[in-house]
Amino acid sequence: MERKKKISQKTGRCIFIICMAAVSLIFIYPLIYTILASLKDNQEIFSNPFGFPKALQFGNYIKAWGQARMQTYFLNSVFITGVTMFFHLLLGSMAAFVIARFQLKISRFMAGFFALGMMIPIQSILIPITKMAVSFHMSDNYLFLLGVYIAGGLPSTTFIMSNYLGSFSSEIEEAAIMDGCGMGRFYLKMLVPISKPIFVTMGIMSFISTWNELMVAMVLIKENSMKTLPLGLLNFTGAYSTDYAGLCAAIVITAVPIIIMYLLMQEHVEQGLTEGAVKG
Amino acid sequence: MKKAKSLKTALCFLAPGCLIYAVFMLYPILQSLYLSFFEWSGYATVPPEFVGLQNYHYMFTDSIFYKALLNNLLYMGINIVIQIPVGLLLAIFLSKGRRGTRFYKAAFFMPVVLSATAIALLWKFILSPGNGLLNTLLDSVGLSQFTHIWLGEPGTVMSAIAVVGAWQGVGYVMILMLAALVNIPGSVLEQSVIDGAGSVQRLRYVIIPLMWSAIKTNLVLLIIGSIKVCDIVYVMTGGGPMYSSEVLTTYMYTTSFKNGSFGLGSAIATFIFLFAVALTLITNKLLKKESIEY
Repeated sequence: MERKKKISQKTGRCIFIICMAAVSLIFIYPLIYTILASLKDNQEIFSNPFGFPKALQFGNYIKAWGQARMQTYFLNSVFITGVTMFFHLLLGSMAAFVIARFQLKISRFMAGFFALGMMIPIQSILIPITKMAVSFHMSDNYLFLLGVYIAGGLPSTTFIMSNYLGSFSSEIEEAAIMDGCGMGRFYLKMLVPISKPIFVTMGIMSFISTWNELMVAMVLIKENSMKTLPLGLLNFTGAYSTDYAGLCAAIVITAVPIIIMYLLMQEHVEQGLTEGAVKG
Repeated sequence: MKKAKSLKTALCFLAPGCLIYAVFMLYPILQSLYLSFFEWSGYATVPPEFVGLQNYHYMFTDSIFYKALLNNLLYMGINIVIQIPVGLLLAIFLSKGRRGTRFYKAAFFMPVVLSATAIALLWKFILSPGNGLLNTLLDSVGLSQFTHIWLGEPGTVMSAIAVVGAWQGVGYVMILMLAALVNIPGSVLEQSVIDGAGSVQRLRYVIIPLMWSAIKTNLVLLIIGSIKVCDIVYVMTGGGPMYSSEVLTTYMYTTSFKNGSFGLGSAIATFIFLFAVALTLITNKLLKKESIEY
């Protein structure tokens, strides 16, 4: 009886592990397939769909990077993402500091003010921002795009950062203000050091969401040389629609920075997304 | 004196963030509500024309609107049915700390951080009708009768997109479940083993009740996410063929940016916003009710 139970437990565990292996294959295989396809030529993708490439066609990457302008899109994305991240952290931490640490009426009001913003789906403001861009003559203008990106992520950044800053019990910062320490110096000397962990987490969140953003860029940016990566990727469904190898190479180029970032900071990314969930 | 000074500091720290947020988020959402009462073709030179509730009337009598709403619900249903159980099981598996946990976790989670555009294009390629990977795979194992023009048939297109959405999102559910799972004291599980509970019983009577609040959090996120789903549908089909995969956001996008009815588009955008807020408030209220103590 006891033995029988053990055996059935063992087979159960075996089945479980086989299932897990199958499930993980479903997750990883499409990514592996894309990488392999990006190294084949367009005929081989279909004549040899499952195998390794017979000869590595790095030409696909060179073509995607140069001729299909992935280099331009990539650099645009790096710039836009970098600036957005910087301002999310700067403005978010400043607002969060007041909300979390100042016993003022305005702090409580601001907490609600920003919480409201977390419920606004970005798709709901596509039309008004397009209208604004047109009437200010700011279509194809990075300043305007950055404004929308910064505003879009600011509510959740502020909210999560204020939760974090609120968890400190020290009163040094008030003391520092009273000592007449300048605001700029105070920000760098006090706020940045204590917020370091949350800066990393929120920086990653900002990076992921900005790097991957499509719709806002689509309605605001028409000029090809100004497109970001997700927008540039869509070119492959139009003009390059038969170039599957090039498409796969472009997908890999888009994904690599995010994958590297994730692998380097696995814990932080997961933690960030877990905290982001609370915002609901 | 002290108070005045700290108020001044507070305002200086708040001002830049508030300003940018008010200009690029609050003003637009109010503008969206405002525009929904107008008819506007999108040309800066032609001023919007006031039409009252006509856009809303049109929207609520338009069959495409209901088709889109139903598709959002189908997307929601498929995502919940796949993501919650699979995410929970994966989390249970990973919580045992076996060898390779880090690898599996990374593998399941990878799609979450990738862009929906890249994911959509990748799967569009895999699902392509003639020689796409999935059909080739089905052919090669002798299941040719199950091949489909996945994204071209009205019957399969929305489910196919939803499954891809679930594929991308399940890692996120897993991470949230895992975070909750490690908070269950090991002694509770050990006690249930001593009490003679089998693994299915343990899942049914111990793990699921203890995980209930995490499950609810995930439900809320999936429900709200499904109302806002956009990129993946837009890139894979753009709402086609013949509106069969239209969702609210693509319906809004096509109506305004393709067909030039920005007033109607704003009405749809306002509906999406209010619907998302209502769902957030309702589900949050339901979520607050009960939580289990160990």
